[in-house]
Formats: sequence, C-alpha cells, structure tokens
Amino acid sequence: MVETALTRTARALDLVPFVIEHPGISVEDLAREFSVSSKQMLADLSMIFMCGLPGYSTLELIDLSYEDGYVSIIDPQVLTKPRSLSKSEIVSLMLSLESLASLRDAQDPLFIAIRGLQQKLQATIALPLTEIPVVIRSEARSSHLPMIENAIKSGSGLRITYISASSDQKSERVILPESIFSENGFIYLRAWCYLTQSSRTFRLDRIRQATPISIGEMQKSEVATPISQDNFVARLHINKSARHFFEQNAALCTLESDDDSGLTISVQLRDSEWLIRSLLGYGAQIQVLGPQELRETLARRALTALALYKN
Amino acid sequence: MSSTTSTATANRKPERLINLTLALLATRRYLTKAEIFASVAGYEGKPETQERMFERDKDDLRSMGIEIEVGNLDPFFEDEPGYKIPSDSYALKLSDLDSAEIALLSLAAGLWQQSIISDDAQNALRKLKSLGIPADYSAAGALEVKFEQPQEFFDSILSAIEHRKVIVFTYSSSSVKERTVSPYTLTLWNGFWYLIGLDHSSSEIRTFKASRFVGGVKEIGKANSFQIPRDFRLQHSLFRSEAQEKKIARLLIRKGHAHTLRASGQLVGDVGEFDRFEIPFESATTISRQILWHADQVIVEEPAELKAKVLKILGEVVHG
Repeated sequence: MVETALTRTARALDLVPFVIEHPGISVEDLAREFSVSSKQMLADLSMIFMCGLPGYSTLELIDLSYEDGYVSIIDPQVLTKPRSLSKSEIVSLMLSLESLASLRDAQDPLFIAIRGLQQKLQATIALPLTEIPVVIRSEARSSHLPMIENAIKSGSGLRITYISASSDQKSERVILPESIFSENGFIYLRAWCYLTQSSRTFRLDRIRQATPISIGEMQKSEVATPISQDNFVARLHINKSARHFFEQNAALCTLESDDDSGLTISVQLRDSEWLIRSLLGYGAQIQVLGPQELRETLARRALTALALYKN
Repeated sequence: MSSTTSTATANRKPERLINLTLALLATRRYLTKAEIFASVAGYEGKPETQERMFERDKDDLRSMGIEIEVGNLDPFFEDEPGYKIPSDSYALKLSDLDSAEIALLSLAAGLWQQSIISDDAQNALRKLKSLGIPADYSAAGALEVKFEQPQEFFDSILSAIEHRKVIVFTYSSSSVKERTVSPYTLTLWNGFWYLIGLDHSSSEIRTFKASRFVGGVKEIGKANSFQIPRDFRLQHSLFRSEAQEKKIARLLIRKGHAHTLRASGQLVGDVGEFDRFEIPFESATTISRQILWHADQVIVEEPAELKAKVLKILGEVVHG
C-alpha cells in the first residue's frame, strides 16, 4: 500500500516527541511502536533530519543522533510536546475504556478509576452522545471481581458458595483462583477446586458468596474423590432460528455443515447433563441425530415434566 | 541513483508540511504568505504554483487536526492576512495523568485488533507515551478481557455511520439475503458485536449480528442520505433499562431445587413440596429455556402464553 504524504507527516510529527521520551531506542523498537518496517522508519528519520525552522542551517534543523541502530533527539526545535488527540482518537480511547468498565460493578475501584479517566478525556473535547458510533453494554458483572483479582495477584485462596447449573447443586468449596477472563458475555474464573481436586471453571454470576481464607484453612480443606471425566459426543441439527446455540458454544462444537436447512454440528462434552438440560428448552429447533440414548433421555424427561401439568 | 530521486520526490511533500508546521508553531506573530514563501523550505515555482501549494497544505494540516489561526498583522489593513499555529492548541494537554491511568489506557488501547478503532487507539496511546509518564500495572486488575474482535468491514460501517450513507450487505439469518440498511450504531453487547439500523425492506429498526455477515459491506448512494433519530437509543430494546417493561411469571419450584431461578425472583408462597415464586422476565423464549433447564422441578402457572409455550416445547421434545 502506498502511504499518503499526510500519514508520513503525522508520523514524523509524533516520532520526535516520542523519541525525546525514549532516548536511545532501537530502530526496530521504534518501527514496531509505529507499526512500520525498519526500512520505513529509517527513511522517516532521515527525512526528519532534513526538516527544521526557516534558515535551515545546522542550528535550525531538527538534530538527531543515530548510532549503531539506536536513536536519540539532540534538538527537536519546537516539536517538544506530543500533538493533541484527534476526535477519532479520543472516541477510540473512550470506547476501549468503556469496554473495560462495562464488566465491572459501580463500586469496583477500577470502575471508579476508569470513569475518572473518561471524564478527563471528555473534558478535552466537546462530544455529543450521538456522535459516538459505538455503544458498549455488558450484563456480566460481579461484586466479587475485585476480591478474586486480589486473590489471583496474591496467590491466596477463597471460600465460595457456588450454584452449579448442570447439577443444580448449591455447594460450598475452597478454591485457589488462577485466572479470570470474559468471554461470550460472561466472566469465568479458572481455579483449583479443593472439593473436586481438579482445575475447574466457574461462572462469576453463579458465585453467591466469596470470602478470603488463610493458607492454613486451605490445607485443611477436604480431599474429595475426583469426578469422572469421560468424553461424551452428540450430533445435532440446529434450525437457523437457533443458530445462536452454536455461536455461544462454538468452543465445544465442530461444524459439519451449514446450509439453508440449518447447521449440523457435533458437540463434545465431559458429561451429558449440561446438554440434556439445554436441549430441553429448544424443542423442535434442535434435533438430536445421535446417540439414540440422548434422544431417549430427553423424551423421558420431557414426559415427566409434562406429567406435572396433568394433575 | 533513480531510487534517490524517487525518495526525494516522495519526501518533498511531507518535508514541506513538517517545515510549515514548525515555522507556524515557532512564530509568535502571524506570518504572511509572502514571508512563508520566502522563508519556508519547499515553496518553489511560480507565484500561482506557490499559492495553490499553500492552500492545499493548509487544508491538509487542518485535516490532520492541526489548528491554523488566521489573523491580521495590521488591524488597519485587513487585506494582508497572516498565519500561525497556536502552541496551546497543538500540544496535548492531558498532562495530569498518573502512572495507573497510563496503564489503564494501554490495556484499553490493546483490546482491539485490525480495525480503525484500534489504529486510532494505538495512535492516541503513542502520544500519551510521549508525555513521559511511566505505566504502573499494579492496580490494573487481573481480568483478561476477551471480546469478539471487530471485523474488517467495521471500518466501512463506521465511515457509513459518520457520513450517513446507506449500506448493502449479505446477511444470514433464517435465510441468506441481501439487506439494504441505514446504519445507526455499532454495539458491543455482552461480548458480541451488532449493527443497529433501519432495514429498508421492512422499514423497521433491526439488529444484525456481526458474525452473520457474509462477506463485506458496500456503501451506496450519497452522503447525508438519512438522519439518525435522536431518540432511537431510548426506544431500542437493547438499550432499554433492565427494570422497564418486564412481565411477571408465576412458577412453582420444587423445594431445594432450581437455585438460579430462585435467585432471580421472589418467594410468594408455600405449596407443599413446591414453593411459589414470582420472577420478572423480558423474553418468553429466554425464560422458557431457563424453566425447561429444570425439567420436572418447575411448573409454570402464569402467564398462560408462557405455559403454552413450555408445553409446546415439551411436546416437541417427546416427539423429537
């Protein structure tokens, strides 16, 4: 792609103040920072070397040193400060910050910090709401997030009350949080679970209570029998109207075909309970192609549920 | 030799723009065109050529967001305008950021890839890094934020929204069809991207999931061919506040079961082996799936439409 003169001008104007703050930076690092090739960066630097103030003697030119691939600015002339942010740059930063904030509770210290930062950015520009072309919302928030993040950082354990959706059990367990991430509209916690003696993934919105515990308490935690980890595979046909089932569970699914009649997929799971319960809610929108056993289990459960309405 | 010549040609315009920026930034008084042509490197050729060059350069610098102030050297002679760049409008003024805030901005700017949102955020971040404030990540949290990445055609949509241009794209829902849409906004909703806009064939505001676009997006027609209704965000279901317009489902929940459902509603009665709950809901489809998740532990009492829906789905499963 041929760069426009404006892109190069903008980059050159931004390069000088950046190098002032990063004296002795290598051409490679500088090129990476500005997302250009090292060759392009060298061309930019030699161009800047030719620019300056009227007079254009050695005293008026921008002066930089370039030794063994490392760059420093000796005399920036008037380019000492970075340029002000453009409207679209501020919008992008606001949106990115909004994305971070959207996963946090209003009481979360980081949420408060992000809001403060957004106000500082907004103060530099008059920007009506309708001019921001992107809206970011998320319902996956948990008041336990800061406590869990602290536990991960300090390597300490938590006692949690957890509602497991697939078995519909409320359980109290001791866990050692390892990592936490947002995906598919939920926040998940990966942790070592002392109750099942295995590494487990918990959904944050199903954690009812959480309290930090001491190492001593963690060591006393019971050793339970590990739950079996057999693999279970099912083949499904999904109507177009229920396509989101595939999109939301893409990580578990392998797409076999996708045509006008819908999607054919196979799902691989540790146990079938989650799938049985999910499929009950879809009726004719999702057909089980196999195994036969899964079809029978579904029909049996549906019959039991229907029987409740007969009385 | 020829490569040197082409480099010199390629450098000519950016060099002139940089020199002009420096000269206008350095001056305290307004510089007249004559002074600029005489002193700033790069203005060669006939007076008309210089004139044209300068007009274009001025527009170019302004399009980069650089403010060029026009003023009169002599208040009694208005025919000789002068130019300068006020240094307080040129320079970034966000100097009161602390190290924790720089860390937050770095995290935020790193969220997106391959989109104009990410390019702009990265440019902004570089300017902020030039303020000389080190980043301190110790308070930045441990949550790894993974959202669906913006797709390549987002840039076209963003530009179409900005210029109020109609777009055409192929979309796969119950069938694969070409849609003509006036784009209103892009939305990252619970981790997934959507386009909201006026669908021309139905004349209704519709939501399109980005992952269901087949191929890219094409702009058609002229700029400013529609207006975005001021109140559409208030009316659109995605933006309606959670408390609004909820219906109430009355359910019987077997004692000691369906904890997730129990947590979302209120206990209103005790019916032997069941508890009676009232649970607010918006979408009958969503709540029916939550109810059916618990199979024979939950019975729907009201509303009748919800009960009928649950019974219909159960019937389908039995015969599936």
